[in-house]
Amino acid sequence: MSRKRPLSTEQPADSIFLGTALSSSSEYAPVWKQDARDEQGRKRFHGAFTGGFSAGYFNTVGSKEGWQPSQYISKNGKGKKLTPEDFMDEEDLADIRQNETLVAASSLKSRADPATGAQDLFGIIALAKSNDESSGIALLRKLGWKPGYGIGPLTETVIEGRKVMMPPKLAAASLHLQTKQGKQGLGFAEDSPVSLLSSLEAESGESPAAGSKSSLPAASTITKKKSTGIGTGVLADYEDNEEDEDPYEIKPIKYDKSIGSKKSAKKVQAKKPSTAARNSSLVYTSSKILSKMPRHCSDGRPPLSGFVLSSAPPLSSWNSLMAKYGPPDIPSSFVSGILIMKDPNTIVTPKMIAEYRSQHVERQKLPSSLPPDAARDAEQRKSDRSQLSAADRSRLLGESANKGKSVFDFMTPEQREKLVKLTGNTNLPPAKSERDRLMAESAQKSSVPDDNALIHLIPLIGRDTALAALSRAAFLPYGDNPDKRQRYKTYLEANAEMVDVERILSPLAGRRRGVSDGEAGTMDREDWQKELREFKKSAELFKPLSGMLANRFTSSSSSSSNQMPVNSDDDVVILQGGSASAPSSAPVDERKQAAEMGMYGSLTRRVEFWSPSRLLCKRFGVPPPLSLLENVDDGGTTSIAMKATAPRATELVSDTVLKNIAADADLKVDLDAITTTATNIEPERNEALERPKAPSDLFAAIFGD
Amino acid sequence: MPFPIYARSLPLKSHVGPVHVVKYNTTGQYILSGGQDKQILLWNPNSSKLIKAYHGVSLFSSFCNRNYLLTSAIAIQHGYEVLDISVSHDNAKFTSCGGDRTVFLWDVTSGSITRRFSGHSARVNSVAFNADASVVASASYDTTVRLWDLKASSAKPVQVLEEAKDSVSCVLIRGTQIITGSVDGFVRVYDLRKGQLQEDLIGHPVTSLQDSTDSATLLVSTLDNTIRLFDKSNGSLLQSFTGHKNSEYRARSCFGDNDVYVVSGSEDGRVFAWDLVSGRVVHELLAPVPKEAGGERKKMGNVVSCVTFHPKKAQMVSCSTAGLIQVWDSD
Repeated sequence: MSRKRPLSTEQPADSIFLGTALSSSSEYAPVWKQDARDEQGRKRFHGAFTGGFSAGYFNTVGSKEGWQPSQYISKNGKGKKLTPEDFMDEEDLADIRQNETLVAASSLKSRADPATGAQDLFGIIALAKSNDESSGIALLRKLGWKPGYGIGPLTETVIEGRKVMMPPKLAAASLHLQTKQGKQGLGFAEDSPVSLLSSLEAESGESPAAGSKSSLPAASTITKKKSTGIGTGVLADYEDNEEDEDPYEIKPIKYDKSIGSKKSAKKVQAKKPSTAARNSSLVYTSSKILSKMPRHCSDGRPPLSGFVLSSAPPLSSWNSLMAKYGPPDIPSSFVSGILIMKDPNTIVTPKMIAEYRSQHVERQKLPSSLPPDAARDAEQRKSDRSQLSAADRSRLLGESANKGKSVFDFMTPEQREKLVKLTGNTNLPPAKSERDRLMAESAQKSSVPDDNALIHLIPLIGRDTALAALSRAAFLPYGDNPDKRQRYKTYLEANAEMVDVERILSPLAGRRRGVSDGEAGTMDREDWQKELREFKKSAELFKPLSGMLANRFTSSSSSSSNQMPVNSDDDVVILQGGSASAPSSAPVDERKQAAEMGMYGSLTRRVEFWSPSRLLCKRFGVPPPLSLLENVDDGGTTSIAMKATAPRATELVSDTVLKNIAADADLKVDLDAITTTATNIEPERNEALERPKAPSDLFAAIFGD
Repeated sequence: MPFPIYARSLPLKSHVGPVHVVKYNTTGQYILSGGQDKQILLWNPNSSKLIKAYHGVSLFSSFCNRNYLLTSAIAIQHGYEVLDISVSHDNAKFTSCGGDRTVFLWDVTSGSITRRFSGHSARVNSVAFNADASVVASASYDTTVRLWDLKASSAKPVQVLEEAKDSVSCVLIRGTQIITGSVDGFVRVYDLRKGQLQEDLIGHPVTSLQDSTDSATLLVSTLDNTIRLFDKSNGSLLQSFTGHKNSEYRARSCFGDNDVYVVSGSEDGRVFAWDLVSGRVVHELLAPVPKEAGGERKKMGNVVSCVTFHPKKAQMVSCSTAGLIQVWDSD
């Protein structure tokens, strides 16, 4: 049954509507029109035929060319850049949240600081800087304030001919934004001990590397970092809870993401009572912290900038003041006065100081104005052994003034001239040639020579040298002359203090007893002396090298010919130092002169052997030079040619030295003959092999059965 | 060839502070400069363009464990002034030395340091490659010359030459000869083939060494305002060049135009050129001075520290303590 429908209605006549109309078609879209989105509203599933899980641009990431992380901005993320968190699942995010703890922003900054110069490159620095901003500045920013401008209504200014509304200029004083330190509320009394504690807390949170001028909000910087400093006992109770934790464990650094979470507030509250209990330990906090303490002078005003109020009570007495700030004690050995040298070139010796001191003490004693104990003190000081010089002691003992003889007393004028030439010092004392006089005296007395005078003439060698020479018994020279060998041995033994020195004199015994010259075992004195000199030389030559030390010193063997009465080796070495170095330095001087005169060429050139290392030769593609080859193979004509020029280091005593000794000893030893016989080895012939073979019956007797 | 006397292009200005060394590569296409500002710069002398700077700090940053940043900075340049540069025969690498007591071996194209040699106890004055770039010699203020092996990866030098009694200011390798000049007034020629060392006393601190193309003569600059040309074989003096001022600083000299000229920097801010045979001064060129610091520089004096001649054509480069590098052309 149908009813007539009024014409005024817009509804079509042929359809009936039931229920309420849908507000939007998308909500109840058919399945094929729907798309799946995740919690963030991102379209993740595209269906199997349109690519499955979307990976971006046509199954690539970013662009046709590939992944372009810097340019890819998600549209679903409303134009925001994606953060690592966006790619994390719930588990990861929960992990992060669990690891989140508040960390000092300042420590973050100090961490970044070492990489100065590259700071701008760190995104992390920017992060830290944004944390710098106080909430007040953030509010100002929201109100439209821009850094660099002042606060106030816009004023009309003319810029480039146009009128522009500009914020007022920043007046330095007007915008002195002081960062609020600490977490105190309004109306907090600064002088109360609680405030002091909180400021200390803030300090201890900061890493020591962070400067005291840090503008970062220090109170919000409660850290989990282990404190190792003394006196920062704030964190002690915290540490107690985690005794089992390894303090050196390397853990990821956890940065705070927000300011003032509930967690940290609780911690601060929990800590306050315990720190108050440890108040006494806080006394030992650093001066930096102390200087930050809000203190006032007695007049109620803060101290001048740069000054710190003293924590100590005012000094009560002069004594306590002197004890603290008095001058240091004068050492008892100090003598007042100035030592004036008449000659500016004089070198001040300890002896001179001692003499001056003794004079000074005597002068002080003369007026006898000193109290008796002071005089005794001076006397004691004088009698102190360490203060006395040798001259003082001899004077005390009443010895006659022994004028010490210098080396020059024993020199001849010619020798002195030589020394003057070498050293260039004309100021040397005169040579007295006392040696010659001594010699002459002894010569006069030679009819009945004194043993002591003779012993003086024996050239001495060191005990070590003698022992070393003796130890090489196989190398004792003079094998052809057993008597001489025996004398040499005696000489060495005497020097090694094994036998009496008198025994060296035995060859002269016959002479002394007036036996005629022809008898065996007697010697002329000159010959005897000459022989001893020769012995000394050979002893020093044949002594084996005693380690590395031996290489470092030049032997004084050449000096024995000078034969100083003072036979200690040291003196000789000193005297010979000049002349020994002179020959080597002379060519340098010549070269210098030639160079100064511009005579370059053979005069300024010196050619030496130089051995490049094997590897270097290889790298340069050069065969190693002959001097290198020589060390390896001893055959071949080339290396023999080298040997002729360079003495072999392996020889114990070089041929030339041996020849010299032989010449000294007047020996007509044909060294060449010795060396040739020694080296006369025929490689083609082996005598052992070429011996006639044993008869066969011998073999049969041994091996036959 | 005419002598390059025209400063056609503006001076190359990228160094801050004195420039100590300029070197052509073997073809003469590029120049390398090193200065007090620790930088080594690669230029095209014809277009006056800066191609590459071998300096800076490379930063490697990466996210580790999701929530903290690991950043490491590795310096890839000298820590102190660059005092000398030497280019290998194939132009693939070059070596530099300086006040940081180390010798660096650089790869030219990538700009990375392939080797670094440390062992000197004082600043390194000079470096030199051998012919096939298998050995680098470095001369140092510590009186030694160290020879480094580039083929092996050993950190120790192959050999140390310790004959000098004072700072070794320059080193040169020609064939199988290592030539060093020292402040003690000696020029030492170490001949590997002969296994011998020739010591020539010059008598004045040697600051620069250069040998001619035929390797028969040696050009030696000393701090007595003189450059001398020596015969290598017998050490005799062939010619001496004076007129310039060189008594305090290292002003390097070189041969020019196939050994026709001798060119050297001077402490009065000029570049001097002599005729090799006659020893006459043929050209005196005034090196440029930056305008803004002109007055000050003039007072202090501008020292032309290094001059290098193009290996093939008539072109040369000079650098000065004013920090400018000037390319000189013949037209």
